[in-house]
Amino acid sequence: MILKKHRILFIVCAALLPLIAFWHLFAGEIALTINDLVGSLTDYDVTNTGHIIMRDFRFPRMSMAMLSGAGLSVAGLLMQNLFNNPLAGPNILGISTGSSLFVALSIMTGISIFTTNFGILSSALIGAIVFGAIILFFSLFAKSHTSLLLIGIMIGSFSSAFVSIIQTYSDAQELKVFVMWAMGSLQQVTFEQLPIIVLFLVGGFLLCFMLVRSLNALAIGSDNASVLGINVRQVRLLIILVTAILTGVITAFCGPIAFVGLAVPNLAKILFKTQNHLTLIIACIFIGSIFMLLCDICIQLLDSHIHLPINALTSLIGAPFVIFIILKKLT
Amino acid sequence: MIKSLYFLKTNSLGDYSFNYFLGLSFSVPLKTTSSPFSFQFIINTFYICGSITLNMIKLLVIPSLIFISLSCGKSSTSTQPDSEAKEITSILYAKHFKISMKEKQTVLEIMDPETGMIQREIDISPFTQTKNPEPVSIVALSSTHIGMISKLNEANKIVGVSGMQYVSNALVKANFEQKKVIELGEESTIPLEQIIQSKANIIIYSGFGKEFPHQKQLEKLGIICIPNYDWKELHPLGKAEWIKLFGVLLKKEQAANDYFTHIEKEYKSLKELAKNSKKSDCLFSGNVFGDFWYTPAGESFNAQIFKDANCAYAYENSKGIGSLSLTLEEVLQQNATCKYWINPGASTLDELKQQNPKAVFFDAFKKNNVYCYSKEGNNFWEMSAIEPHKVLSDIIQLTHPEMHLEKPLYFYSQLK
Repeated sequence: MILKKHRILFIVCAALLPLIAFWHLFAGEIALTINDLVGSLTDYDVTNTGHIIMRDFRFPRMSMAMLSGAGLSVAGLLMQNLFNNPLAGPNILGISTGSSLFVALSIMTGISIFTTNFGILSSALIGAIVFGAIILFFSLFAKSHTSLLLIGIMIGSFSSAFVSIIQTYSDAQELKVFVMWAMGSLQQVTFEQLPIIVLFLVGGFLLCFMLVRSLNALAIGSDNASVLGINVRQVRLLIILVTAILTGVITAFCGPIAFVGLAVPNLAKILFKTQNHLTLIIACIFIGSIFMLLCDICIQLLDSHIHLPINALTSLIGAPFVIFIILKKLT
Repeated sequence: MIKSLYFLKTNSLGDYSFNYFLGLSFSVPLKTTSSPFSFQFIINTFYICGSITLNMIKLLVIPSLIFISLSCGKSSTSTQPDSEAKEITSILYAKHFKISMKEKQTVLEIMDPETGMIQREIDISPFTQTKNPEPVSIVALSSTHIGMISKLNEANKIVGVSGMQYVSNALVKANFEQKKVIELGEESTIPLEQIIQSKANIIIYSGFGKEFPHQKQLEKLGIICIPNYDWKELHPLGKAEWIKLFGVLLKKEQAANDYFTHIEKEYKSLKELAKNSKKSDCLFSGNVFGDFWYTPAGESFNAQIFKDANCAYAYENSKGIGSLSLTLEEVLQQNATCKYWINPGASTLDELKQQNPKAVFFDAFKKNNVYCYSKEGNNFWEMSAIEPHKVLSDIIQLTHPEMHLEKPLYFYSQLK
């Protein structure tokens, strides 16, 4: 059940999202017109550079900004619920790093199938699931949430070290493919790849909506959730699976993107002041999409002065926000 | 400490420098996964402390080695040119080194590429003196150094390299198999003990960090560290002219001079031929890396070769000696219909498409006019600096088919 005040906020977000998305389409350095947009959608001409830039460059970039923002934010929300800790997130708990490790392993084995889109996608997914399961395993023994968070950070460092070792022994070509992937980018996704990404992410979101009741119960503690008839172990596994799908798919296509999964769910909680996960999931989808679109618009607007990778900008905004959350919790 | 900080950098995947990547020279910021307030920062701080402790232990061992060692290589830093110094090797194009006689000593002057002032003066007399010159054993940390030494038929003098996976020279590979050459790893992280173990008395390094790690200790042990700024030279012949330094060090001065005169003549005659033909169809270079496309700036080394090959290059009038970073959209708008695409850093069209899915929108890709320096693996990196006439010949042949040069392609091949 969504409260009326939340509905109003959703209407505002729903109105803002297409406006910002539209702005994003025209924020690039090369000036395009409405005719280019309409023409690229209705009468696509492969020899028209304006059409190519609009349909094959800007539309996938805009879509990927929205999808990655929404997906990572929902993944972060699930992690925070699972560990009952506002500082949890796929990046902090080593799930993104796990994806990176498996992608590094797959690219640098030298087997050509692994360097295909399918290879990188499956490696990122497996990495996210394996590292999610490892974190879950440790969560059975960790006495406090802080310990678990520390374990997650250690696992992240551990896999980073492995990635460094693999890089040392890889040849120049493999290293280049990996480094290019690891830099993170919203621009590498093609128009043709979008349906695959949408399919995975929509699947992940639907699973999330199916878990709303369990998520709400887990928010008041696992013991209370058990009393309410929730199969806590099963729900935990499902949360890990959904998080891995969302994080893995986005990491596979955009590289690791920091802090979105941590900052946006907290922002949603501050704005909506609720523990209802139906509201929070929808809020994360809206705010995450808007956040990433705005970040990418900033990058494009600043382009003539300074080149910022998306990952750097999300960290620049995300890190102070996390400090704010820590200080808020302390006071 | 430098080593520790480097470890912090690489371990946290914080920042990577890619020089010579795609034939260009640039620095790219990578993602930052550890914020200054994160726990990873604390962990990395522990790494630093650990490394400092290790270095302190090393510092206790090193002085004892220094006491029992003879000092033969000496270097000093100066910013003023010496009026009494007499240049003994004529340098025509290279801007960053000179070899002079000064007070009966052969002195190598290395210029700071940024300021043009003398950065270091290195006494290389022990290797150049006529009576009992010291036999040379070299650690060559860049592929171009290996190429220059091998051009003088002295590859046997190489006792250490950065990484064997980047070596193309057959003799160095064979010597590595016979354990006469050791692998030392990346320039800034080479362990001191391994250098001593290699029995080298000269280290030629790229000079990214200006001073070589442990330089002072190494010099006290008689090991001379020479920065090689050939990669900072803007003229292709300037880069090649660094062979004269190797000629002096290896007592093959005449051979080096003769070789340089030969390539200078070849280069100039090719340039003249290209100049007399019509301007080529348009060419673009480089590839996307992360979110940006890096292409040679108008005053860079690569742009000079395009100019000498009389190629139409969209950025030939741009300012800068490094590379331009452009958005994919900008590059597409300016080069969508360009005929030639060179140096994408891939060896097949599939690999290129994998690296850059948007490559398919360029006419050069659609019409299969993409060329890269990947004909013989890493051979380009080893030999292109010392054979600029062959690079020029390749570019002319690719972009001026009407000239019928009738020479083989030395470094470049068409992507298939």
